[in-house]
Amino acid sequence: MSFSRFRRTREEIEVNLIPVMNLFVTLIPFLLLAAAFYHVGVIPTSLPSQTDESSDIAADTRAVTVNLMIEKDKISLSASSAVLDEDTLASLSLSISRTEKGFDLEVLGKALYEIKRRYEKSDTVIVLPGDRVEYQDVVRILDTAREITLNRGTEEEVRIPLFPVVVLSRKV
Amino acid sequence: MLRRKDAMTMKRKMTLQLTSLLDMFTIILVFLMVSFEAEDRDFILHPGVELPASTASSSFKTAVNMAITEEAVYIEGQRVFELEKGGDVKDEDFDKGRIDIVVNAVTEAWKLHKKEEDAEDIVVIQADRHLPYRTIHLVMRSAAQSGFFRFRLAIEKE
Repeated sequence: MSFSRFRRTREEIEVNLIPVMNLFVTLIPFLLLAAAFYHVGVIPTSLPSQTDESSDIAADTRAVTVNLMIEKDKISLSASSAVLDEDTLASLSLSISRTEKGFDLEVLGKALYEIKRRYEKSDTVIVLPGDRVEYQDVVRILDTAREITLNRGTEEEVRIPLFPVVVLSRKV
Repeated sequence: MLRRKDAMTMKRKMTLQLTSLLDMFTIILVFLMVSFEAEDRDFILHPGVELPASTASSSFKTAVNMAITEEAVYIEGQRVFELEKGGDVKDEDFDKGRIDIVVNAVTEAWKLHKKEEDAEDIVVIQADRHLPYRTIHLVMRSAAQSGFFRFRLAIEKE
């Protein structure tokens, strides 16, 4: 008698998983169709413009326009401004040579971060790649110029925008 | 007594053990839900284009679509201009500063797009990561001749 009551209790706690399975079988094909295995984004850019109303060159003492000249073996960083003197702008210049491991973009990122700290209203970078520079290299340098990640790999990791307005031109 | 015991054993053998299958489904479901991104639904990657990797996080929006592979330039999926080996352009085209056929094709594409409610005068460029920059620059300059000065460079998020 007591044995049969024990069996009945055991049967009652069995969960019927069939409806859950049905739900999963419906959800999985739907999500498989909608899943984005290839995550695509965009980098907003523009070609240079020089009109009476607007210019890409900074006209504020708290801002500079950064120029990045990219060659196969060298990146040249310089700054331009309609109001700052030449010596001040020259002090912001930097040149980075390509090594066997490629360009040291960390050095470039730190230099750009320093410029951004000194001239906080700056937001424009004019990129001038050479004709034979590979597109992937240009995109890597754009990433470095657009934002910097501080304290990478720690809990205090933070992404700071540097020069999000990208103007693409060409080294003549 | 023995016959009843045999019947019970038979009944137990026929029960399906679904727990492990359910575990597997749960893992797949979680993975797919993480991969789910409704915003990318309109993006069709052009065959033959290997997008550059980037950390950029701006999201994709529809616009005039241009693809540049190592073989040709495509506008809205139509092959409009053949490139030289390695995705290069001829010197005479480069010196000219524009590709006429691209200028016309972008103008035609914009005529169709501007009827859309949220149309923006922006060109989305899917360019292969191995292309020389001068090819991309020439195509951008050609689009500028059609009145497009703003571009979105498609990238593969890292």
